[in-house]
Amino acid sequence: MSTMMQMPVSWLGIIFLPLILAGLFVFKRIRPFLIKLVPLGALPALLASLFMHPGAGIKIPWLFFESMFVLDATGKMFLFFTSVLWLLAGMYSVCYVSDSSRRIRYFVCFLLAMSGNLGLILAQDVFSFYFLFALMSFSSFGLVVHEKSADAAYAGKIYLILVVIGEAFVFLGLLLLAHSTDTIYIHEAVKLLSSQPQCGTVMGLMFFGFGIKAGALPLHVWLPLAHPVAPTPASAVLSGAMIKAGLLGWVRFLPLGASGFQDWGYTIILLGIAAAIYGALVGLTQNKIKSVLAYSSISQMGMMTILVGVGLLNPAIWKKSWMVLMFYAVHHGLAKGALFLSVGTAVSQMKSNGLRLLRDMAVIWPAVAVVGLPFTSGEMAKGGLKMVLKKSSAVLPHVELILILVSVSAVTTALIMARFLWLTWRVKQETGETSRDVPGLMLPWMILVLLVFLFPFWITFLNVVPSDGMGLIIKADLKNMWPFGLAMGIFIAARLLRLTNPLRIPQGDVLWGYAKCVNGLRVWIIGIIKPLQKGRENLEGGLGILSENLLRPSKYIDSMVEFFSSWKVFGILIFSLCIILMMSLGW
Amino acid sequence: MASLLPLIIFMASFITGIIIFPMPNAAHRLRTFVNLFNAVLKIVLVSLLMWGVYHGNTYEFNFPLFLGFNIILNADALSLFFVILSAFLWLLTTIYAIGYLKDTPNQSRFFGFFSLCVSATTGIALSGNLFTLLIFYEFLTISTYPLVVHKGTKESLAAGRIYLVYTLIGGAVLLFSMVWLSSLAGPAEFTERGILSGLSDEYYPQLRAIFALLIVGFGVKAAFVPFHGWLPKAMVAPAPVSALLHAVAVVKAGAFGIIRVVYDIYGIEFCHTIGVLQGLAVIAAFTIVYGSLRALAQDDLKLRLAYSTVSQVSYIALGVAISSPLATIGGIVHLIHQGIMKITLFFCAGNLAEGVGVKRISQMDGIGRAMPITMTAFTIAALGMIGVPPMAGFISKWYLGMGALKAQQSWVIVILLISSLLNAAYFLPIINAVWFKEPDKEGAFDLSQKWFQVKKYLLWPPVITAVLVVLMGLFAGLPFSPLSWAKVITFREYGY
Repeated sequence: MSTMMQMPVSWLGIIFLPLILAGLFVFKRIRPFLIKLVPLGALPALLASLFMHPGAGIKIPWLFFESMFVLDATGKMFLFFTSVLWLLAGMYSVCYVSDSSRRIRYFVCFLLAMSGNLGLILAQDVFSFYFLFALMSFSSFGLVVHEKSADAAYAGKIYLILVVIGEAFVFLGLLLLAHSTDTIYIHEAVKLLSSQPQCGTVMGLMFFGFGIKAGALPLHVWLPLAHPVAPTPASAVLSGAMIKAGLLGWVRFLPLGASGFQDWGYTIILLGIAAAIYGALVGLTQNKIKSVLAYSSISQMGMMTILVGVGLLNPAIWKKSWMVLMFYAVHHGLAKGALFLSVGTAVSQMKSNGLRLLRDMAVIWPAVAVVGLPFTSGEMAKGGLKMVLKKSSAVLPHVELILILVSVSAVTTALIMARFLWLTWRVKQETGETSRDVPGLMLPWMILVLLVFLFPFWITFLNVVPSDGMGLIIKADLKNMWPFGLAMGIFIAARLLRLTNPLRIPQGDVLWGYAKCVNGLRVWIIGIIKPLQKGRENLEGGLGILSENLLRPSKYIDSMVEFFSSWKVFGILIFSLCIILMMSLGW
Repeated sequence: MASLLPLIIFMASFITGIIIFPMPNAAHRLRTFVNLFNAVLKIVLVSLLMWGVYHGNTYEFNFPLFLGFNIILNADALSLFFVILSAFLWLLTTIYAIGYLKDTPNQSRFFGFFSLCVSATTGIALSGNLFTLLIFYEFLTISTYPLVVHKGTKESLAAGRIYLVYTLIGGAVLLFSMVWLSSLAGPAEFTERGILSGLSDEYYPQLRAIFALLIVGFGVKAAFVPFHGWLPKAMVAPAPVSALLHAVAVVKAGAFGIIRVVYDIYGIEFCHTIGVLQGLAVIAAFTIVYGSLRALAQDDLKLRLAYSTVSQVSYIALGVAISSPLATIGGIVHLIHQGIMKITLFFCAGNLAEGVGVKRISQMDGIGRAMPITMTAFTIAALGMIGVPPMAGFISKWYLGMGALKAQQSWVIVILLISSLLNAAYFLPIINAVWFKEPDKEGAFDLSQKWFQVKKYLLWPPVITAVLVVLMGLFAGLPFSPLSWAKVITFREYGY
């Protein structure tokens, strides 16, 4: 990092502004005014992502053990979509949550999580990264349990358990990383890591630790519970931005682009494909719009997991796969954010037909983008994914099969998006377009949809992608339509045959299995502990009676005797100790 | 003058105690003035001492008593570490206690013994040999007893008796082992890297036995399992007493004694040679896990905190028992970190009891709205206990973990992990209940009238300590942070 440009400390407003805003909520009088400022917390980050050159950074000697914050190319991409989502979700929240009696708590948690999420993108040393990651994870608990319902409380519990487990994994990983490489700077440490004996352990810990946040199988169980149960704008940042913090953890802490990790890469690719297909299939069985979207997130994160795997499998083309990965992250972040925001707005009342059409388009476009139809960012992202897989055919075993599975996942993605649109349409029928149509909700949503629409045409705007796009171009190839066509066919056939959802897979799918195991374990442990506890109680009771008798030989002797008797015990003790001492000196 | 400074620091709180005893209960203002004046004076004196030691001056007060047993008070890096902790937390706890005990009887007795108790802690910190340490150790036992039984109820008298039985037996064991040790090695003056390395190996079995006895003796106060029984019982004491007992006075005195034994009598290298560290580590590890498990089962807030102390104080012993400088740093710095975090928690528990009469965790649903400041402080300290960054507890845990890796004792990491998870399991539900659950009924928490009268006395101390919990973590790398001091101490002990 010798080329690092020194930036003024004020640059840290990216992290501090949301923190300061959160702190100002202490003052009761200015709270109504402060709430309106909440979205601005993400503004410095957005400006930095747009106008700062990659490589700018700062070392802060007084924070932890010389913390370092650098905006690198990866950071620029992440900071862009993350700050956009927080800004727009903030605007949305101002309107959406403002009549809740718990709004102050919501906004404080919102700002703290924002600060953590934006900050960890810049953090380049293990302490500040871990701190900001924890800040984000723990404060977004407040967003998950915002709605007062049994579902929310349960989701919150599961969320918290997995956060704690994830923190423990990451803590161990960081400890081993710093120990084996003797540096606290992530970039250097990971570079040195590949030659260390602990490398495999660290990679495993990091993969699962951050995998919890990224919704990787089989640790995804909290995600379909927690993402949907939060208020709509919070779901948008959870599923669009915070889920990517897990991905960023992988990018930062796995030796992507270093050689010698083929097996790791292959395994991760397989896990990714499994998540991509499994997530979408389980999502199809869901009846709540937001659960469908949450499962779609698991599925899409699976696609990004494949790219992470390619980074380990085929380091030679890491530059290309990195590019595709970054693009995919931005694409999914924006699109999924827009989809979640549409849940609260899609049924709004519109006066003119033109506006109504615009609204319907705004619901459909991000869904179509996730599917990957021509002219969308999804087409580019998926095209890029296939390109890097094909380029890796020399090192990737069963490449044809994997490509087929990727196509299958395209079909399942199209199906799940069709299900989303179907459910949205049905809700609209049921509620009869009477919901809120507040500009405060419509505006951030529309801006986000517009960004989803525009950003593929404007790919070089962050100065990160070279002007040739590195293969990321809009092909507008009609051949890319086939998964969509097939999915439509299946969907219409299912509707015509009036096939109803045969499986009612509960949110969190395999969670019930885990819960069963944990419960069994608990019963087993209690079975062991109970007799032990009895024993301890008996022992304590016995000791109590014994000491009672020692200290108080008889109830009828007055307190003077009681006093002396305790000293008598003490005297005997000292005496016997002295005897032992004398014996010991004679050794 | 230079040699008298340690004595003056000790005397400052001792004389305060003597002055306060004869005051009538109604002399609230006078007592408050004397208390606070001395607390501040003590901080000034300790700062003076720190400044002097930092510039290389030595301060030693030596008073020959008999048979080569001397009273020695001196200031080295380690004793300063403990003195500054006790002086600072004494000030805060005094402020807190003034508010807490306002308009209750027997305050002069309370504050008198309170000062004596702190002077005893100061004496322990400044002791230059085992003999002096032992005297102040017993003095501490005697001066805390009236605080534990302050309420005078049947329950507190019973708890006080148990406390006395435990600690007096512990003291007797210590006395015995000190005499034994002196018979082998002469007066046990605290010396960096120990005084025993010159002894030939035929004494090793005896030295091992003495070590075990010393650990038992100090372990009673440090609440090692199975000598921890008195600690949960002593929870009947008023909140400021519990706070002080857990953060600086009694429990810490035990832990401090263990540090002195391992580093300044035996010496870490020598401990390693005679192979006693593994045993200490195992006891500490067992205590850590056992304390956390018991804490999990408590519904009484103060009891849960008490078992948490049992667990957390053994971090110090664990750090000491791993022969790696990094682990030593982690253990020693936890002396301060745990103190600040735990005192915050006890202040908050006291505020709950005073403000709204809540003592059980099951009554705490939604209490964050009634007492936002107190519960924010509580949340910060509890997260620190779990080891969430950037709180101070994270720094301790990081160094302990790094030390364990350096010493190739990976089982310690497993203990740390289990303990963190258990800590999360017993603190996070409280935080969840406090902020995110609704109270059982509308208007469940009416802040009592007394609360408003004494609010500032009871609010500021936990706020200050909670802020410190964050600052000590965020700025751990700066000179003069507890961590940097712990590093200085450790490097001297290891002879770098």
